[in-house]
Amino acid sequence: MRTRVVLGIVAVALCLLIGQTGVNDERASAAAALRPGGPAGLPGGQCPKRGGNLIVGQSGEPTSINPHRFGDQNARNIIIAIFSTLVEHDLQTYAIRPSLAESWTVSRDGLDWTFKLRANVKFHDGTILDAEAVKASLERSMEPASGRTAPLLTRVKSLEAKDPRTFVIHLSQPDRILLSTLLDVYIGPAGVTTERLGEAPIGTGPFKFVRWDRNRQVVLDRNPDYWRPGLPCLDRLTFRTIPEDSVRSQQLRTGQVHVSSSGLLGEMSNLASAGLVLHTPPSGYNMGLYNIHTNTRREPWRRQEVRQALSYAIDRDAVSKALFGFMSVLSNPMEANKRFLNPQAASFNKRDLDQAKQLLSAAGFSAGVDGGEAIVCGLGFQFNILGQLVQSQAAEAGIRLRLSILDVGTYVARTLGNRRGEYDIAVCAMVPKPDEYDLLNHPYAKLFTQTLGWIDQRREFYDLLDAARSTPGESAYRQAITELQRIAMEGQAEIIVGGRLDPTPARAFVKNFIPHMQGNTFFEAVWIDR
Amino acid sequence: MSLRYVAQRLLHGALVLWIVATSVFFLFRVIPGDPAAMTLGFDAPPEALTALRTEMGLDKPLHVQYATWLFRLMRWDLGRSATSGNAPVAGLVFPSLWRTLELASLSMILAIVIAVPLGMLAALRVGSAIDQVARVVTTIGFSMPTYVLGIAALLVFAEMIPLLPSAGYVPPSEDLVLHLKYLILPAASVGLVMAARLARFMRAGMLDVLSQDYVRTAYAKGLPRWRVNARHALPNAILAFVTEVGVNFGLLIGGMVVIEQVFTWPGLGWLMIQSTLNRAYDVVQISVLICAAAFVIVNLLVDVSYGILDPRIAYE
Repeated sequence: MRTRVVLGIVAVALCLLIGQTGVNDERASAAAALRPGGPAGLPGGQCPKRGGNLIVGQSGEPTSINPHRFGDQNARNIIIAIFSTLVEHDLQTYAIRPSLAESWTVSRDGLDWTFKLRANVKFHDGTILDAEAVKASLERSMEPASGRTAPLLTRVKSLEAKDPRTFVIHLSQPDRILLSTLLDVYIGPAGVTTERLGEAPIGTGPFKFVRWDRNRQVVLDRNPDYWRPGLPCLDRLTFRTIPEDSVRSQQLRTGQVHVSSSGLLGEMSNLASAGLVLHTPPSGYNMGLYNIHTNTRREPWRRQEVRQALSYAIDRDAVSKALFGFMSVLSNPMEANKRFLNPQAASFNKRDLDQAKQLLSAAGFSAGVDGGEAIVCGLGFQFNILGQLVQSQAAEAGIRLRLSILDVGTYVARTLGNRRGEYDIAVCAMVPKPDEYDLLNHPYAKLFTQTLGWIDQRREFYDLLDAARSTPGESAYRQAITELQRIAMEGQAEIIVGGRLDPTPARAFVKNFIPHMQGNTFFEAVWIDR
Repeated sequence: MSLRYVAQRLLHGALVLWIVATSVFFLFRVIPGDPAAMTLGFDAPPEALTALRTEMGLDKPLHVQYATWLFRLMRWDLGRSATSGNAPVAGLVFPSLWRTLELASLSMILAIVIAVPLGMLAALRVGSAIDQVARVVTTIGFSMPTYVLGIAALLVFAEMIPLLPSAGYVPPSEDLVLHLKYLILPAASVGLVMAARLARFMRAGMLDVLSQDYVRTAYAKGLPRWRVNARHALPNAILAFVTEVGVNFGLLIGGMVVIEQVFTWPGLGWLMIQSTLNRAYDVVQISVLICAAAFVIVNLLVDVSYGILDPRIAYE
């Protein structure tokens, strides 16, 4: 009897709770799995040592420090030190966890997301974070020119600042990737224009903007009012622009620079022998994908057999060796998220030259085919190597390519910009988020729907991708992701060559640096131990 | 020298600058890519690019963009650079120009200090061991790319024997000594290569003058050797040398691109290369105009200095 009463009370309490918050079963369990945000890698959440100025060498001047309008990693590294987001990645598991949002609930129909904001969070100018600031930040992110996030927020119907600590996003249709999108929505104060925020960035992040000495450095200071008590460990963070790889490497070796945020693949042996620590992403993860876009609106890339032939012709093991092993062999982007990997989907991990030749013959090119111009983004020496290997390996299968290594501006213009589509194949790298949806959305849809032109051939892929975003049930969603992989791997419109494993070199006294899958550098919990 | 001549030269200079400005404006519009694409980078969907291009006025017809820019330029409104965090163009270009002038001046002073005595000595002792050594050294210096010397200097003096900081910049207002330390390696790299070039020129100039009749006459009159060299040969040889220095100084201002890149010296050359890569149209246009203006002004100053150095030269 007593047990029944207890069970009854528990059941009623649960019903009340669910009714009150409106969380459906699946999402409730997902939310329960989330842990409150805490610094990774710090014993007891406290810095073992405090102080110091960490100097980060960057490969170029940031084009902007505007959190809503930036396009390069050098800018992103600075922005993520100044701004916080509603949610964030756990740097070790890549689960999405609370950040400025303490918690959230989702309505039963998946259309209303209510976020409870953390209390007493201060912006760098001393004002308190409230729902109005979050609303203004979302609005800025939804401006058409906010390239990074605006196209992913099209399902947002309205935004509501319910009370100072409660913020609601109303959607026009359910959106599985909302939380993932919010990882890129940087929260700034209300009443500031996007332009102004770019000139004087004010966030709630671990570091405050001090000054930008153009063509030299961006200086940030510790935010003493940071909402994670006791953090950051460093007093100052200096992002120094050093475009020459050899000079950046030399400055790392001599200690003038403590961390290099990018590149230097060709300098790794020098750096390792000089005692620098090479930080690589956690095992099984990578820092983006080397990829080949094919222009499926042009011959011969219109033909699936030719695309498959090129993918089979690529010797991914040889490419990995040429890149000193800093590339993981994979052809399915989902290999970076094994939980959703479809093992039945075609794999091109093993080179098969005979198969490549057979496919070309089946396409009517038994004597080989002119593949046109292969443009390569000139982002560093590894891309030159990659382009040359793709050219020579394709030639072995009978696909002749003309190689053009382009500066970034020209590459962007010809793939996405005002001269879009002026290429036959394009060799570069991309940085999808580690979630299963973005691993498909990023390579095949997000940016490249038009430039790949594959939508003309496989409309069903894009319809299914769009539908999966709203799919409520886990099994149906998983099925959709499985099917999407099958179509993508069969189509090979985007050929994945491998996973980037570029290490981040740092001086040995730089402690607790955890590399991120998207190449971001987080310094919140880094300390200096000299 | 008449004021009319100077005015005429200035007018020609203005015409040259307008041609340069117009050429650069249209040349940059032909190159693929634009500031919008560079601001949003690889992650920019086409719709966002279109929106930002409209916001930046890049969707307007070229002639409208050109007229707007020229009109603004005439009012000395240099605008803001979208791909440099929306910084005022003047705030980017002029501090960079100053830093390049500082580096170029120091390099040139070093070059002159080495080249003049070395060239003179080689010419006065033509065929001697000194001349042979000078010729070999200057040939090596002349044929060595500045950046090779720069990187070698970095490795030796900043890594193997860490006497100097490798690369970077500290404003003199922040730390004058460190500022000068940062200046030494790039200035020496440029200055030594330039010295080799100028020393060869000085030697050739002196040899030419020393074979002239008036020098022979001076010797015949029994004047001391030093006096003939200092009073008769050097002033005449220096005339062509000054022209060479002027031309090279103009070249240096626009030609510091590589050395500034190697030494992370945030001068005009570095700004130009970064701005070209970032398609910062306004910044590149103004930077190129400044380089062209430097040529025009230096050439004018060289011509003016002729009149001062050699009273026989007069301009009508």
